[in-house]
Amino acid sequence: MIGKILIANRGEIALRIVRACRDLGIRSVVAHSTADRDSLACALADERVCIGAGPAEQSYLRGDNIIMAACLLRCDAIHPGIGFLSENAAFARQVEEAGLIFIGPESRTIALVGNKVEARRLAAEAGVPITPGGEEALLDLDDAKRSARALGYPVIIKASAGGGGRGMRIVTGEAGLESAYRLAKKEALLFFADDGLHLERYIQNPRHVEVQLLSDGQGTVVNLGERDCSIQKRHQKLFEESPAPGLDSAMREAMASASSSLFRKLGYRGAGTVEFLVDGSSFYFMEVNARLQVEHPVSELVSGVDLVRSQIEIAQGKPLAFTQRDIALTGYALECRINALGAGTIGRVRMPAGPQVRVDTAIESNSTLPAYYDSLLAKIIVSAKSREEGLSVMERALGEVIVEGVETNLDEQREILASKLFRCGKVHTGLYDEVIKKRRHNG
Amino acid sequence: METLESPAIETLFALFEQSSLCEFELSTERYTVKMKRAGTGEVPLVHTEAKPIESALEVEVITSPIVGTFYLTPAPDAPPYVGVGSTVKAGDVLCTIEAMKLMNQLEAEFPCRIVKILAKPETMVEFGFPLFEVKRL
Repeated sequence: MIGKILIANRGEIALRIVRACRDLGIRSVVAHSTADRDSLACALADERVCIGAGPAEQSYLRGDNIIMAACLLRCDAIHPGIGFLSENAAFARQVEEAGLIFIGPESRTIALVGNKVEARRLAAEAGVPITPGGEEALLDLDDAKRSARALGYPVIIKASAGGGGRGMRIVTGEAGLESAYRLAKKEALLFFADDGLHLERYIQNPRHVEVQLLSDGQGTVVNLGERDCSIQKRHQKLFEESPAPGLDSAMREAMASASSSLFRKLGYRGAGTVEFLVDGSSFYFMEVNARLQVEHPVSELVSGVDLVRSQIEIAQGKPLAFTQRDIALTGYALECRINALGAGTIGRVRMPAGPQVRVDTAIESNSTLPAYYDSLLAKIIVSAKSREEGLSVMERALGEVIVEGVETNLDEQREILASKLFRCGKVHTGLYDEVIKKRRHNG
Repeated sequence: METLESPAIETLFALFEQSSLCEFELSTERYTVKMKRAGTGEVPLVHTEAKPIESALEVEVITSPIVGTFYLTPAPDAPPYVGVGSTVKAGDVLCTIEAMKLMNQLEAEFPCRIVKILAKPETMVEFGFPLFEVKRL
């Protein structure tokens, strides 16, 4: 049984986990950096422990300090949250070896799906369609040239150990291949300490659709529907919605069942996501996110399942209390991310409320926003009967938001929400640029 | 976490302390003990962080660079590294902080006199926890 959890994260997601612990009657300890001493997560947790200085590599990435704190404070488990050490297989293994429960997949699963080449191979074996491309890591530049020619341009070079847009290079013709190959290799080494690369056919402006799964590692795998996360700026998601607008039911079912079989094959334990690129009537496996995701509330609202609570229950070794048949996906949910465009001192904050609105945030009026971490200020999530209704609830909600003191993307988010392209539901990953370029052109 | 029988570990620590070894590692089926002297490896294990205190003139506080358990003595029956009033040179050991089964020796970065011992021995210290109040010499 888990009586006490150390939360190795910060911001709104740390707070989200503190709340789940409270609901379950579990004590929470927030491991924080010196910069987050006065954070809301620290204030609302049962205990807090300082694990290092502001920069993440001196605190939130210091696995040794985190594990030590968990042991000394007699915690039973560590929840890594999102980002930082959440997909670090070595950290998960150290947690296991210290006799603690890692709230997430087993370390070997994280290692397996963390390697993109390996993940693609596994996906293909589980019958999940993959983008045409090398199932093998590239040997050298000549190998890259041969593979690119065979696939046809444009192609994308990716870091095998990568993610989040890092170490990725789109190449439109052979002339650009050499420099792209060398840059990607350098970037991959820099960011992931592994310069392995692979090459795939590049799909222009696809949709980004992902399936949320829960799996107890004891044979039960359920999918909680998909999320469309196509609205992105430089690979960073801005809006996420479920169900994906205009996705036909055959593709939805195929995607869900492919994801479930992949998780079954992996013997996956915990919450996780399978990301896909959708191009017309085809969909292709992109990657497995072996952790909770920022946009998880969207799925919580359409499925009625509390994902963080489920993660903790699965980590305790409990089988899932429901099967796919018990999941009824109803209505529509949309999340809008409010990001800061710089660090500083936050002035007045007003977050929206009222019917159908959920806000996940850790900022308060007159708090400081450290420059060390990511820029997410708040997630506004609305639920509705239909997409149309959801969009107007979101419009109302965003109209209520005030964040003073730091620059935010609020105006841009309102603009996207109001755009015809978004409203008609023909979303794709190039939409952000189209809306913003059009405004600049007109303005 | 696995614990060692205390007489065994005490002997190990004492032997290591007296030896001229830089590193020591012992593995059995049940546990591994690694010991390393600070300042001998490529990566410094510990460092001190001094913060000036405004209220007391010239008094500085040495804080814990890691999360771990604070010990003033190299072994339970050994004399403490330092006490109130001791003067230390740069590089002298002030205390050990046990973390991840490693005894990390915290060394003084500058010559100073110990004014106050702020942390309680054998208790947990977090990052930045005040350990010693010292006066720079």
